[in-house]
Amino acid sequence: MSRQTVVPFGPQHPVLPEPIQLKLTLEDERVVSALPAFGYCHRGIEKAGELNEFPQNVFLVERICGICSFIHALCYCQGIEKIMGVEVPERAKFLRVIWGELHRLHSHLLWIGLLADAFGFESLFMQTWRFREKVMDVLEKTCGSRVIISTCTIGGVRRDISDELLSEILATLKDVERHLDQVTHVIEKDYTIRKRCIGVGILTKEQAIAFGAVGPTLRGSGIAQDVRMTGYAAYGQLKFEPVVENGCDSYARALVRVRESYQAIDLVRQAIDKMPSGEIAVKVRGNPNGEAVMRVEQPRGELVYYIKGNGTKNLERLRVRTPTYQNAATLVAMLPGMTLADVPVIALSIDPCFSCTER
Amino acid sequence: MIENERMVTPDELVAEVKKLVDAGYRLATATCVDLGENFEIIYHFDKDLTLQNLRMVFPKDAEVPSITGVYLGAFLIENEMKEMFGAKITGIAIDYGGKLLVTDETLQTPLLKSVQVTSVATSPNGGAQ
Repeated sequence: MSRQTVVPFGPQHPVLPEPIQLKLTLEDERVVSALPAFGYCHRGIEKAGELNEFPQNVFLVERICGICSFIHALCYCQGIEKIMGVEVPERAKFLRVIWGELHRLHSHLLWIGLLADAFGFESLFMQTWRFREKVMDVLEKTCGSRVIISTCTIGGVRRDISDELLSEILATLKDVERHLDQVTHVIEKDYTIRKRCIGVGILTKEQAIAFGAVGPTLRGSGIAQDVRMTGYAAYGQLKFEPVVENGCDSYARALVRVRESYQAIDLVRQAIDKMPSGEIAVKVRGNPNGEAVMRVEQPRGELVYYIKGNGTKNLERLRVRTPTYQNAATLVAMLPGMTLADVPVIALSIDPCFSCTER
Repeated sequence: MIENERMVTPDELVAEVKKLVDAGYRLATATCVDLGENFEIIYHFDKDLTLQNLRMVFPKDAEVPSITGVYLGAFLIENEMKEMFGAKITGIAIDYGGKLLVTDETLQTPLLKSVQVTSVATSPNGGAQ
């Protein structure tokens, strides 16, 4: 039997710009066991959520993550609306879908770029991020900000999008789709990408359920589950089927994200096509009294908020469970048996976000 | 009240979780709430996008069993509840020994109501006090 060596992978590592440490036990080059460790930049946002007045928390939860900020605000607002029995105007529901899917699109493009960077495909990395910028520009035009857009509010949305800007969004998405076709061709056909990803980081269907995997990590293991299927916001009025791949490996998870990028473009188009005119928000009075569990689909998977109000302006409890918190546990199953050289790709394949995890 | 919830005791917990796991449920998460004298933990299980919630209330000084024996994927969630609230969860399959999210230098059990946090912005060293 070979001698075992423990190698700390992270918290600072060239492939992972965010702080996670994987304690890897190796026999020669092969991983025997892995244990994720984090907590390097925990911000205590759940505690802060009890100290703020509940409307202020919309701005707080947006700052949990810069990649899916709008979706955090959406989940929180929907939770408060559920407790308080608020019915959101129809147009606001469609606007929520548009901003939510634009966030998903730029998040997946960011990830594709990071994957390319991990392989040393610098040109693909820069090209992907170049047209991701077009999505960020659209966000800026519609909201005045690229990252924290602050358009979601309890009772609806803060801003409308004019017909002129909607046309501009459609034109930009056509351009992004054209670029995406080129990237997809590389990911589907390139020998190196296939060699580095296919059969690497296997997470079987049973393991995905046993470790509570969510999002593309779950759907890449052949399980057709996506919270958007519940029809929250305006998803129930749009044609939507979850993207599923059966490979159970890093490649399957990559393909799910590529196909979901196209799907995000399609959902924005559908939402623009079907969006009714009318009010974008209703006035909300009073304080939340009661509890709710709210779930939405982030780019990385199911996001869960548990909110408990006590009839005052301050919440009794705000619990935030982000997708990476679940998916990090799956590394315990994915890494054993792989070589040390595979670890960066496998860790990236769950699209880890420690801004979310260290909420 | 949240949808599809039922109360369980600490003695019943593991058996009830096993029933859900055997039926194909996935643990979405668990939420710990400080009720003053007691803790409340709600286990949120999901199958086909429908939640089943197990609610357990127990005294703060009581020990409760880990569910990692029947659902290994709960290890990060249970370690978090142990550190953030000081809940005495015993037998966690992968136990970080109180060092997953907090360290000796940081605030202990910060999510307890009794732990007062003034203002992050105004604390002398820039961190929570």
